[in-house]
Amino acid sequence: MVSVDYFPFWFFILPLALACVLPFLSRVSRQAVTVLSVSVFTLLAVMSWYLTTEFGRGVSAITTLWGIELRVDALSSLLMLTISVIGAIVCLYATSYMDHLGGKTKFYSLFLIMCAGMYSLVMASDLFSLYVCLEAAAVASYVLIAFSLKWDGIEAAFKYMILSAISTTMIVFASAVLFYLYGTLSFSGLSVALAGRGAQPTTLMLGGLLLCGFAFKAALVPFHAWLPDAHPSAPAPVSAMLSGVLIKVLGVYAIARVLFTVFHAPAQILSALTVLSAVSIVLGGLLGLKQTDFKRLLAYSSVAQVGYILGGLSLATPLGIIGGLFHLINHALSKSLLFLNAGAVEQATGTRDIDALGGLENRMKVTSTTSVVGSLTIAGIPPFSGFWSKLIIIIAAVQAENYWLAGAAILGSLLTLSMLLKVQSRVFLGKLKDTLKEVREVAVPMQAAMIILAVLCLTVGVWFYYFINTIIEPAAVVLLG
Amino acid sequence: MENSIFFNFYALFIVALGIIGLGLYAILSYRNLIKIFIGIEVMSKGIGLLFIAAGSANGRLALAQSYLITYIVIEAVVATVALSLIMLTYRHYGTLDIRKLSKLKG
Repeated sequence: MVSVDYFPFWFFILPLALACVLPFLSRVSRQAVTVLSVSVFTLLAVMSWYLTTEFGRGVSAITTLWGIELRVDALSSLLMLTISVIGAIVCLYATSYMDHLGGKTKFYSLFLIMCAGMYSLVMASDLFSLYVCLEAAAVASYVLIAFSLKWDGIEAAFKYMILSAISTTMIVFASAVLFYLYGTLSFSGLSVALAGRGAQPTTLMLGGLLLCGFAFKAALVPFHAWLPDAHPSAPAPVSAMLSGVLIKVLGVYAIARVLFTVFHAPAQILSALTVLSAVSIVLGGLLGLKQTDFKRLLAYSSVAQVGYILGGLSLATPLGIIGGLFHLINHALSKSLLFLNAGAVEQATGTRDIDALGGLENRMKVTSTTSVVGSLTIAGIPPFSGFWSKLIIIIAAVQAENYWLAGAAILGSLLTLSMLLKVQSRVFLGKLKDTLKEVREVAVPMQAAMIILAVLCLTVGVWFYYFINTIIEPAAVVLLG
Repeated sequence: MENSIFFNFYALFIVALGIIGLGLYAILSYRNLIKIFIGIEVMSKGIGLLFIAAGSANGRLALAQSYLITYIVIEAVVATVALSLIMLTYRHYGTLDIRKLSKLKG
């Protein structure tokens, strides 16, 4: 059983088993809950790094156990690595963050279920199981958003749920019609059936429906309304996971898999995706600029960054796809870091309103330093990793003669920079407000989580060539076929 | 099964579309959270019908039935979460009117 072939199964069996055991375990020892969760994610991170390097050499596998078919290739293992790394760090952070919120064990159980859903989503081998895993992860995320049981979380979770229900209806409707037409929903079967039918109106309509459904999950601009409500209302570790990983697994990965592997990248749908991405980049930046809520501002920045990722992918050139996937990793690291910073500030001061804050630089050294790293990464300042991915996307857009996207990417970069400078200057720099004299730095596990993420941002930025070669390129090859 | 007087995929497709449309109409037009939730449920019934119709039209009814059963289970899970959220909303806002749920904006 412990052979490499069955590695993929551990990715959803371990989190699910732990999620079931935790409520009982917490009666014995409260420490064990945290230690076990963090170590499970660390173990999975190591396993997915192994899988990533394995698939980097051109191996891809379909494993079957108890009738469950899992398909793992370089793209899936890239996403699995992202989920595991961010998951481990967020679990570490939540140890002390959830102390003041309560319900730590429930939080960890739900969090593990959400991650199990995401792990199995990236390993799904047919459209219906992709939908099932998507719904599993999404239901856990509704509960996690409303976790604090305050009015904002509940309102946001309800809105998210209604919009989600409409988007999943689009996905399942398109799946049902595909099932009627071709008698199968497996990616490989559909890919064969749809070969050479890329320009037919039916195919385009179904592809468009699936794109709209998944774009809801990815929060591209006309479908983004739920994100600025949902992500800020959740507890900080949850927002970090939602903004850093969930929208990418449920939205970006699903769009990439379905459009490239199943639909053979039809040009019309891709150009629609490019337009939506360019609009997302600009509108997300503009709307984010006027926010005064720390986390809400970050949520709008997520909308813009998803635009970059999908914009890169939608070019369907090798360089564009590499840029998009690389930006996915960078955004996962840096946006999680910024949400953890926002959580630390909220816990230390009791507010997220950036106008009520100021001068925290000397009071919260770790938080302010790591938030500078996170901001510079997202804004795309060398040597941090965000610079390289944005540069690659812009070069790819120019090469593909898509000057609108390139222009939007440059403008969006400036908007992101000014948005995050606003945060830096109002929250961390300036004169310390009288009300904040008593503020202290947050607990050690939270500091450690933020430091690890900041170091990762820097490492990926400095050794970007190594990362692109080992983990990004094989994944891009999967999409290019 | 071939299309016949008793079974016609296109007729069922139209009916399913109609049901989904009705659900969507309910979501968009009603103000009451419970009624919106009923809209979601109606919409998913339309999808269920479509799956079964598709399965029996292309002769893979067993697969379609297993899809449908999984779909129903998911729907039940979503219904549980949705109703508990509605309950919590009522506890916090004292109303089920969606227009009152507008504290988050900007």
